[in-house]
Amino acid sequence: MAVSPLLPRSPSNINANMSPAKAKSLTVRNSSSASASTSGKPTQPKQEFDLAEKMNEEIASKYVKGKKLGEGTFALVYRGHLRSDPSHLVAIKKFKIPSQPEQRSEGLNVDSIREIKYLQELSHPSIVALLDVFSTKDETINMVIEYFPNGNLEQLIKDQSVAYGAADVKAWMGMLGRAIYFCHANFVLHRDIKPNNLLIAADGEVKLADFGLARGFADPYANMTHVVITLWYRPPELLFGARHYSGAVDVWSMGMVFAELLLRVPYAATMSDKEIAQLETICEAVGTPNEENWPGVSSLPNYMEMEKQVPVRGRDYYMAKFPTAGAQGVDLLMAMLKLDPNKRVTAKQVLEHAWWRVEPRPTDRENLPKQGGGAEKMGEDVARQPGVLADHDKFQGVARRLDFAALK
Amino acid sequence: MVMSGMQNGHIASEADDICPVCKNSTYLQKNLRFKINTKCYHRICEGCVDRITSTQKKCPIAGCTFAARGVIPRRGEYRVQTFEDLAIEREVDIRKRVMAILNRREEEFYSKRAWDDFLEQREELIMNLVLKTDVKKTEATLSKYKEANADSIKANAALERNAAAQFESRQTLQKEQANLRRQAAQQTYEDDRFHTLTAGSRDVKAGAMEVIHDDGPVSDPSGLVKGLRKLRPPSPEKVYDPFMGMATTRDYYGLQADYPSMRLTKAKNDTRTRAGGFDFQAYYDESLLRAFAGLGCFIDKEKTGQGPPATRELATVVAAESLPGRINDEVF
Repeated sequence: MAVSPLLPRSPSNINANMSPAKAKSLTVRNSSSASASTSGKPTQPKQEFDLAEKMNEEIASKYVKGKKLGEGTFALVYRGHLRSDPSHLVAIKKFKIPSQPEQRSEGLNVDSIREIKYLQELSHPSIVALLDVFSTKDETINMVIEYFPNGNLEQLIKDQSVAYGAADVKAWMGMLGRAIYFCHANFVLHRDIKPNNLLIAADGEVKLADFGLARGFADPYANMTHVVITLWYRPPELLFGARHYSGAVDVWSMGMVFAELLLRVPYAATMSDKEIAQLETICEAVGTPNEENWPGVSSLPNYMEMEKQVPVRGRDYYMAKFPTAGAQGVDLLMAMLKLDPNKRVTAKQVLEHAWWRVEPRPTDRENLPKQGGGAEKMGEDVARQPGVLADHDKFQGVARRLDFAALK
Repeated sequence: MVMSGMQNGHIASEADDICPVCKNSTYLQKNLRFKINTKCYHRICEGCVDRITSTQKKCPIAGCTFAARGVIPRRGEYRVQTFEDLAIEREVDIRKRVMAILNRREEEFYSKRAWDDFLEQREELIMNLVLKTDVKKTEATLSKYKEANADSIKANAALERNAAAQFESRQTLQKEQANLRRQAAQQTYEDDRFHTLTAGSRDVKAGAMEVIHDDGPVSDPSGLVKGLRKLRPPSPEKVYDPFMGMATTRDYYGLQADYPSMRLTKAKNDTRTRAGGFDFQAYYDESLLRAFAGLGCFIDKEKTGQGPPATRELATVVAAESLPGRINDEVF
C-alpha cells in the first residue's frame, strides 16, 4: 500500500517489487564497480548515489528518446521507446526550464506538478496513462506517457476527408463521458476539456489528456480560479467569475465537444479573446442568462447585464441545428448546455441518459475512424528499429490464401 | 444455334416486330409493347395479353405445349422481357428459382471442397431444368429439399436480403459523400470477411450464424446437400453499458440529500456559492469517502453486529493492521 500508484503501470518494471534494502545493496554494488549499468547509455554514475537518484537513473535508462514530435510553451514532446522492446513506443513530455532566472527560482512549473499528480492517481482506459516520471541532468522533469499515433479529435473533426456518423459520435462521447465521470467520482476537476485534449489511441479509444489545469474538488470556503478552460469551452459561471464551482464546468465543456462533433465546427467559437465576447456567443448559441433561468446569477462577481437578449434556445432550435443527434441526443445536449450549473446534468447522469440505449448503437472501438496512417504508420516506424518483425502478419495472410491442404 | 425451336425462332428485331396473334407491328404502331409468358416464353403484345387473360384462353401461339396441355396463363405470368434472347431469359429465370431454394452460404460448409461440391450439384440441377433432361426427377428433388429445409431457406434468404440492403446503403453513402474512408473501410471489411471465412471462424458482420460443434460435416435433412456445418443463430449483441462496469455507488455509505453542519451553513446560504454551481453533494461525498475509504469500515454491519468484513482482501488488511507492534507508515 505504501508503493506509489505510479510504479505498477511502468512497463517491465524492474524495481516495483524490490525492497528498499535490496535496492540499496544494488546501489552499493554498482557504485563500487563504476560502469555496471545495465544499459548501453554512456552514464558516469557518481560515487555517492542515494536511493532516489539510483531509482531515477533506472527509470530514465529504461527509455530511449527519439525524434521531437512537438513543442509547446511549457513542454517538448519526443517520441521514445523502451530500451528492452523497441516496438513499445511511448511519448516523452519534457517540461522546459524557464528561460528567465527569476522564474527559475520559483521551482517547478505548477502545471507539470498538477499533471503528474492527477495522472498518477487516475488509471482508466479513457484517460491517458502516465507510465513513468524521471528527471534528467538539466534538472527537467520528463513524463513518459502512452504513444498516440493518430493525433487528437480536433484534427479528426477538421479533417474533411474523414467521415463519421452518429454511432461514432456516440462511441466517442461514451469514452469522454466515462473519463469525466471517473475524474469526478475521484473528485478531480479536469478544467480543460476540448477536442484538442482528446487523444486517439492506436486501438481507436479516445483518451482524455492534459491535466495541467486539473485540481481536486474544493472546500466551500476555498476560492478557485475562474480563469480556466479554453475560452470556447468555458461555461457561463466561470465567465461571470464564479469562485465556487463543481464538476458542472466539465459537463458544459463536454456538451460543447458533443455539439462540435455533430457540427464539425466549434459550437460557441468567438474570434475575440475577451470573456464578454464569449458570453455574447453563448447568448446567441444557448440563450441569455438571467435571474429567471438561473437564480442568483446576478450575485456572481463579474456578472453583467447582457445587451443581447436571447430566450433560452428550445428543443426545436436544437432539433434543427443538430438533426443527426436524434431526439434523445438533443435532449442530452440540452441537459449538458443548461446555463444554470445547478440544473446541468452531472457526469453520472450523462451516462445514465436514455440516449445510450437508443439506436444507433455506439460503434465498436476498433471500427472507429482514425486518421493518418494509424497502426500501419506506427508499424513502419517500428520496422526501422532493429529486431522487429513488422511484416510478420502480412505474410501469414498470404500463406492462408494459398492453403491447398484444405482441398484434399 | 440457341435452341431456336423453343420459341418458334421469335427473336425481336427493331425493323419489323410483329405480334404473332393480332399481327400488329411496330412499323405501324410505334408504341407497341411486348410481354412474355414466364411458362412457355411466348411473346405477344400487351393488348393481346389483356384480351386473352380476361377471356381465359390458352396461350395463343400455335403448337405451344402448354396450350396443348390446357394450361391457362394468368395475367401475372406475363411480364416484360429483360434479355433479347429468350433462351437466356428462360435460363436466368430457372437459375433464380433454383438458387432461391438451394441458397446455402459458403460459411455453412465444413470445407471448401464441400462448398464446391454443392455449387456443382446446384449447377447440375439448373442445367437439367434448362436442357429439359430429367425435369420431373429434378423438380421432385427440389421440392423435397424445399420442404425439408424451409427454415434454413428462410434464414438464408433474410441474410441475403440483409447483405444486399447493407451493400445498397453503403453504395449510396459512397455516392453521396464520395469519401475515401468508407471505401477503405469496406475493403478492410471484405478482407476481414475473407480471412474469417478462410480461417473458419464465424462472420461477425451481417448477423451470420455461429458454429456450435465442430465434430465433422453433416448433411441437410433431405440428404441432398452434404458437408454442412452445424450452426446456431448468433447470440444477441450485448447491451451497451455507458459505464463499462464502473461502480456507480460507494461501497461504504449511501449519500443523503443534506447533512446538518454548522461550518457549512454560511456557504449554503451564500448565493454566490449556490449560483456558481458549487455541488454540496460532491463535497459530502468526498468528505465521507475520505473518512471511510481507508478504514474498511462497514457501518451497517457494525451496527447490526454482523462481525468483521466479508471481503477477503479487506479482512487481510484489517488483520494486518490489528497486529500489535505494526508501525503504520501511511499518514492520511
